[in-house]
This record gives sequence, structure tokens and C-alpha cells, in this order.
Amino acid sequence: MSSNNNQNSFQERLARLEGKKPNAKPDPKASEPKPTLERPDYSKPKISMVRQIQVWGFVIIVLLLAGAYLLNTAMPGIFSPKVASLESAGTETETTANEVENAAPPIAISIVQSDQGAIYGARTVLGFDGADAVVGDFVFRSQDAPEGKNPTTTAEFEFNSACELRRPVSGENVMGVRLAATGQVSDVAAFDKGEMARKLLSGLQVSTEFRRSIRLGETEERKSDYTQLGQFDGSMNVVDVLLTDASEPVYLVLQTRGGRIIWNLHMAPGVTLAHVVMIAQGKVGLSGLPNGTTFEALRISDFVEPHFFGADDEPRDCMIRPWRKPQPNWIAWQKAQNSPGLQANMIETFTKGYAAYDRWYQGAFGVSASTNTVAAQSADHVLLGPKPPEKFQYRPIAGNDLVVIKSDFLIVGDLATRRAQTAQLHSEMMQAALGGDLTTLWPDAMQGESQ
Amino acid sequence: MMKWYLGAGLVALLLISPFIYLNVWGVRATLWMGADEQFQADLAAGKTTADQAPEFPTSPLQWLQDRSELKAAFNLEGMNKERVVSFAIDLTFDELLADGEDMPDAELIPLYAEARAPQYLMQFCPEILNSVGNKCIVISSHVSVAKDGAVRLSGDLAYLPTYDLGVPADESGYDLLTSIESNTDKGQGLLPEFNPTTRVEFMDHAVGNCAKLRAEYGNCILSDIRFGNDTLSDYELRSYPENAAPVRLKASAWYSVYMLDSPETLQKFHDTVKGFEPS
Repeated sequence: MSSNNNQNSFQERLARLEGKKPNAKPDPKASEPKPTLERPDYSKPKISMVRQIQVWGFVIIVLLLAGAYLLNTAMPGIFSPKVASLESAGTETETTANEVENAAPPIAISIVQSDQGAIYGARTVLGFDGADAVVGDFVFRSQDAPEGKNPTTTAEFEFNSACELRRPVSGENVMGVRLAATGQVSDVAAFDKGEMARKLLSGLQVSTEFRRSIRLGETEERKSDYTQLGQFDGSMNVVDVLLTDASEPVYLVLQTRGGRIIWNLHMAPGVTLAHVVMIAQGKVGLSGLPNGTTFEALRISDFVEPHFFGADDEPRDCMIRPWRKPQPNWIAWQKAQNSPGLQANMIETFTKGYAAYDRWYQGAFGVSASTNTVAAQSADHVLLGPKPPEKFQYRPIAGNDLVVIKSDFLIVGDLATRRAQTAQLHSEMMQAALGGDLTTLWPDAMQGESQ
Repeated sequence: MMKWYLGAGLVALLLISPFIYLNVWGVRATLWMGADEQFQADLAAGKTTADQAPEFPTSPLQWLQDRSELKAAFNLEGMNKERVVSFAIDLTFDELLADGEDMPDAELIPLYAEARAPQYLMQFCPEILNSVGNKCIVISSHVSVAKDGAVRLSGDLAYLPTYDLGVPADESGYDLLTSIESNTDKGQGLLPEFNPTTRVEFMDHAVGNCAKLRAEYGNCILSDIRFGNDTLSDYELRSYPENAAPVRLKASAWYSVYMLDSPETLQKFHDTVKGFEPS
């Protein structure tokens, strides 16, 4: 009996521990197999596709935004093109509702800042008031525009031998354009024998190792093909100059530190052109010059030594290198404010160079180099004057008279024509240089009689 | 997973170690520049001697270049730039024109000169075929034209040797060492006239000396035979026989021997070459 009592008290203690009633009946489910818990395998983490997309998408977006920020810092305005209405380059007809509805899509104005000033893109016009406009806002292209791309006549002229220019007379309005470059290519190529020869010589000199390896059989042997040596291009670019100020005869000063520019003049009705002066380094030309209008040109290197840092700082006679006055919106200007260095040197060069150029300009023309002048790093179209009351006719080089600085070779035609003629000229020069036999550039080995 | 990381790390280390090595060499080369600058200053001040010049650190890839140069030097299957006859001569531009050919515009002269240099140099091939080689080709040329129209023409002609090169010993510590014999060295006497005969004579003389070196060292290559011309003034011509031609030959032979690379053996090599009889 006592053992039963002991056993019962034990059972009671056990039941209490298990939270059961001492005399509770056994749980019929106790005999059923308990469901096993599935523990996650931590050695193989589960990949959630959604989470992957979220994380990587976030990383990519952050990288894109950072890149866009850095790009905008380097080139302000690159992400903010403005859209103007079209009315450009279409033919002059009575504007009808249908024509307006069928108008071509809007053209974006493109003005990008660079270290040395604004770069005006295609169709965008550089004007006095800086208003954003496209060339079609001011001119129209006539339905009778000549076919093809060749000028009507061409004539040559030479640079002035002395640093002297016709002075503006009272009543003439001195206006100027000052560009470093332009991106609009013309169908005119002008170059000299010396330029071709230097290009071919440079090709010969840099190809020495290549020719050695061919002669030693280390590279596949090819007989001479001089075109491997490179060809001089000689293409001229073109800037459209829209003249709209009819208040006084215009004394026009067209300036570039570079060259290879044809200034294509377009005059609104009533505009009179008194005289044209061109200042350039290298080839330069004029198109659309009214009959009887005089012109002349100065070549920079005839009177100013090649530039190096500090060379143009001192005002002096005939300092005709046309430096532009630095502006606060130049990227180099902004960078120069923060730290000395390359940009600060650049701004100093432009500032002092402009001051020296301005001194000469005032002496030659009687007005400051900033008077009635538009300036930019690069532009294809320039407006000198107010917006015309109505659009006037755009005259391409084709069908215009063209005057170009005297050149040994003047080629007018499309790209294929210019390339073919240029290649032919290079071939003839190389053949003459080699004494008539192109293979002498790659002489064969000489064998001894014993072999 | 750790094994993968370790493996990837080892591979990366293997891949970047050449770049690290090159960068270390680059730092050493930069330090050498500073040491050399100090040495030049000390030399000028008399505080040191020329033999104390700091040695430029050898590039880690130099052994590759040396092996390919060695292989090319003894290769008899083709011409290469390890065995050349080179010229550096002064002439007038009209010597490059054909008979009766008009002078071109001045701006075209540099192009004409550079373009005609290879064909002009080929005229020296018959002399090479007459002495050191049985195949000859121009492998480089360069021209500079002075403002007065004087032309300085230089170029290399590679050749396939007819003389025995010998066999390079398969030993460690060996390298291709070079010693130079020049007819402008002291004791060489008057310069010969600049003409094909004297040039062939000099090349034959060099071949003979190379044979002597080959007998001593087992191999010898004429890695370069250099010719130049020198136009003597009237004063300088006073030392020469009457009616001697003013244009004289300057010539040097570069003997290259694959031998034990040590200061002692090199000095002995130089002494041997210095002891050669003048041509």
C-alpha cells in the first residue's frame, strides 16, 4: 500500500510538472507522431529576386544620379536644352493652317559651356542679346535655291603684307564677330603643297618601325601604299553671318584665332556693307559679298609670334591675335575662383591677351573690341543686329560668289569628290618625291651571287 | 566558401604581382634619377670619379629582351636588327636627284629627301655583299635637312652574315658584351678616303678581328659596323698627302661576344680589341 501511495504521489508530482491533472486520462493524441519542424538551412541563404532587384536597382540609380551630377558640374546646361518653335528652313509660302499643322518637329537649341566659353550647336544662333533662337527664326530658304553645292564663281586674294587696314569713316558702324572655331563643314577644300608635304613627311617618319618590321618579315609584307601615311584634309568650315542692322553702313570685322573658315554673309533688306576685314590664322574666305564691297585680311602669324604662356600679355603694335574677354559663365572662370592652377592661368592669358588685342583694335578701328561684337568659343550662325521685322532669304554658298585666300589647291564638291581629288594629289606628290617609282619606298633585299 | 575566397585571393595576387614588381622598379628608377643628379653635381665639384656612377636599375623585363636579342644575334635564318651596317653621312640634296631632274620647291625638299633615303642607302648593299653578308636590306632611314640645304642621312642595313658566328656557351653568368674599335681612336693614323674600296677594306678587317675573338671566346658577332663621312678643312688636310680627297671615312666596328659577364673579363675583352692592328 505504501508503495502505491509513493507511486501515486510521484505520479502527482510528475503530473504537476507536466501541467496535467493527476488523474487525467492520457492524451489520445500523444501516441500520434508529432510533426517535425523544418529548420531553415542557414548554410544556403534563400535568394529573394524581389530583394535583389530592389537593392541593385537602388545602387544603379544612385550611380546614374551621381554621374549626371558630375557631368552637369563639368558642363553646365547640358541637361537643359530648350525647344523653340520650328519655322526654320522651310520654304517661304503663305502660311496656312495646314502648313502649321504639318510643321516639322521643334529644333532644340544647343548652347554648352566649356572652359573657354559657349559652344553654340547646329542651327543655334549667337546674337547680341543672348536670346536663344535658331537660324530659322530669322531667315528662310527660297524654293529657288540652286541645286548642288558649288559656288557660282571663285576668286582668290592674298593677306595684307603690312599690318595696315582701311580705317572706318564717320557714319560707318563697326561690328564684329569673334570665334575660336565652328562646326559647320562646307564643300570647299583649300590647301597648299607645303601642307600636303608636311603631312606625308610626318607619315613617313612615324612609320619607320612599321616599315622596318615589314622589311624584316616580321609583319605581312605589303608594297607601298602611300595612303597609309595619311592625307591632309584641307576642308573649310562655314559660319553664317546674318546682318540686320540697317541704321548705318556696316564695317564688318570677322575674327578667329584659327582658320579654315568661310564667312557666309546674309544681309537683311536695307543693310549696307561698307567694308569687310578678316583676321585669321590660315585659310579664310568670304561668300555672299555684295558687288563692289571692299575687303582685306590679316594673317596673325605674319605679325604675331606663336603663342606661349605670357607671350601676348604685353600690349604692343599689331597684336592682332583676337583673344576673347573671359566671362563669369566660363567653366574655367568658375574653377579659377576656387583654386589656382591650369584654369587660373588660362583666364589670366585670356584677360591679358584681350587687353592687348583691345588696345590694337581701338587703334585700328576707333572702338573697343567689345563694341557691337558677338563672341563665343564656337558657333555656326551669328546674328549681328536686332531681330529683323520679317524673315529674309538665306543664301547658301552654292550659287554665291566665293573669294578664298590664295591656295595651291582649291577643290569644290561633295565629300566623295573632295576625297578622290585629294587622294589623287597626294599620290602625285608622293610619286614625284620618290622619283616616279612608289616601290622604292620599300626596296627589296639584295642577294649575293653565292646564294 | 573560405577556400574559394583564399583561392581567388591567391589568383589575384599572382595576376597583380608583375604590376607591383614593375611599380617597384619604377620607384627605383625614379630614385636613381635623383642619385644620378647628385652624382653629376659631385663629379663636377671633383668629389667623386666617373667609375662611381650609380647603376641604373635593371628593368624586370630586361631578361626577356636580352634572351630575344641573343637569339636574334645568332640566328642565321634571317636578317634582323642585331647585325647591321649603319651609315650617318652628310651630302647635298642634289645627290638625291636623278640626272637632269629639276630641283623641287623648297617646301618639298624634306619630303623628297626622306622618301629617297631608302633607295639611296641600297647603293651600299653591294659593298656589304662583297664582305660581311650574302643578303642585304635597308631596315631604317632618317633624314634631316638644314636650312642651307645640307642633308644628314642616316640608316641601317641588315645583312645575313657569311662569316662564322661561333657557338654561344650554355653557361650561367654569361651575357652578350660589346667592345668597339674605331678608326678615329688614338694611334689609328690618317682617315682613309670615303669610297667603296675603303669601306670594304674596313669590313674585311673587322671580319678578321672577329675571327680572332671567336678563336678565344668561341663566338663573335659584328653587331654593328658604322660608317660616317667627315669633310676636312684645308688646315686639316695639310696632314694628308697632296691632292687628298677632303671627304674621309670614319668607321667603327662593334664586336659582340657571348662571354662571362664580370669586370675582369670585360676589361680583358676591351684590352684585346684595343690591341687590334689598325685597318
